[in-house]
Amino acid sequence: MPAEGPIQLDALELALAAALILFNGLISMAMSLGMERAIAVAAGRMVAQLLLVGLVLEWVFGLSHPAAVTGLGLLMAILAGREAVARQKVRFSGIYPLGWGIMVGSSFLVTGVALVGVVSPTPWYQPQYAIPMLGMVLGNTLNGIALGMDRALTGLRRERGYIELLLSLGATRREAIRDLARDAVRVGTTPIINGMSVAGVVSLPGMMTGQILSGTPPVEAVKYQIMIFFLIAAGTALGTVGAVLGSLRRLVDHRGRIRSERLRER
Amino acid sequence: LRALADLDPPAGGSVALRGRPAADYSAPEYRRAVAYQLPTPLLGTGTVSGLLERVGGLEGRGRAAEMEAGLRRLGLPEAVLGRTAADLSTGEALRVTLALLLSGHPDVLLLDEPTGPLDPQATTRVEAWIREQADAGAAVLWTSHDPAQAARMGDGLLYLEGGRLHGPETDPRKFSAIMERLDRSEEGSPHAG
Repeated sequence: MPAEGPIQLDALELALAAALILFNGLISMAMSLGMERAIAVAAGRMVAQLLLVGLVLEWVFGLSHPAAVTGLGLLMAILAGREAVARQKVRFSGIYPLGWGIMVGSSFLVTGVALVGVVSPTPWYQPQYAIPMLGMVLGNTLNGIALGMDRALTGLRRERGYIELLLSLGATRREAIRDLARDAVRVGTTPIINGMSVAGVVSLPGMMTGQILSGTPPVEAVKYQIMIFFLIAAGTALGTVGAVLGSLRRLVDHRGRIRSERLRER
Repeated sequence: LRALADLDPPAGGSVALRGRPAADYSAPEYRRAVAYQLPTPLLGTGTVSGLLERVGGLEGRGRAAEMEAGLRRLGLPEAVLGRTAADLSTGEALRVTLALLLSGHPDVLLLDEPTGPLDPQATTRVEAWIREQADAGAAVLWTSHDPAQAARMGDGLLYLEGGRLHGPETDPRKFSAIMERLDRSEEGSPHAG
């Protein structure tokens, strides 16, 4: 860490940045998009949520206790799982516990490996490392799970006839849902693959940019970003596979029958 | 039919094959023996030849070549193989489904309007193949709304009337009178077997 931190922002400067949101408002009015209210609410939520998180993080950083760090991590993962499920149009009973479980499992595993094996801060629970790394894994795994589950659940309905044709021809459950499961995992993991291919060319990843802003030498920031990309890719793959197979196992019984009575539209 | 095909749990009663409960057979084993033709065929997103390979790769199924012969037998031209499932007409997709099911030589055939969208020539080809399998010992349960077809193909007529299953009526000459009566009362769901 360099001796001098980044330039501090005071309230007046933030207010100036906030004034930029007026562009969104003006565009909405000029084009009669009717989004003024939504923009104001979203901007307000963003400010309030981030301030709140800032306070919680300060508090947890101050405690620097393994239970506090793990507890905050669990809370974050469960909220991410909830969000992944909230994006589903088609649901089934037990979908929330599945979302929470998969999210906690995949993100903790990947972050744990990186914490113990790669970064190795002492102590391991130093919140400066554990919390941001987990947060980045969660944000991306959430997308993968949401997309993969959506493909699996809507596909189960749309492609039911094809799955049942394969069953009628003597396919096992695994053979019958193979195409759908593959499609769903592909859909869920494509964004992160695309993200890796354009990293640094089309987009400067947020974390790297943040580290550079706070004074880290660019090459050091890049090394962290590379590690984070691999974490995210692994977390997304694990989470997506878990969520897709978990959902299909729940909805297709051991004889391959599609239990559509367990499905419900939101 | 869906319950007999083990695609839905039965609403009541039980399903047995050769005196053994359906649940005693592994699901693929049971369904290879009891083949069900879904009323609206969906063949996935690939080409027909891709589907044939996929099905040929399932355990206990014949090679793709045998199924190709089945397609020809039902009057589908070679060119169908290269087309994607979405490009097939309903009648073509139905014939592909039937060729896949029939080339597996099932013990029991569950057919749900297998010739509904077909022209008379294709209907004749389908009926001939089904007749051949029935003669070879397969049991056929066939839903139809065509009295002439029921009389032509059926040995017994089961029908739902007033919420109850009636039959089997085994005199084909009486089939059309029963089916026309059901048609008028619009409760008709006759099964010829």
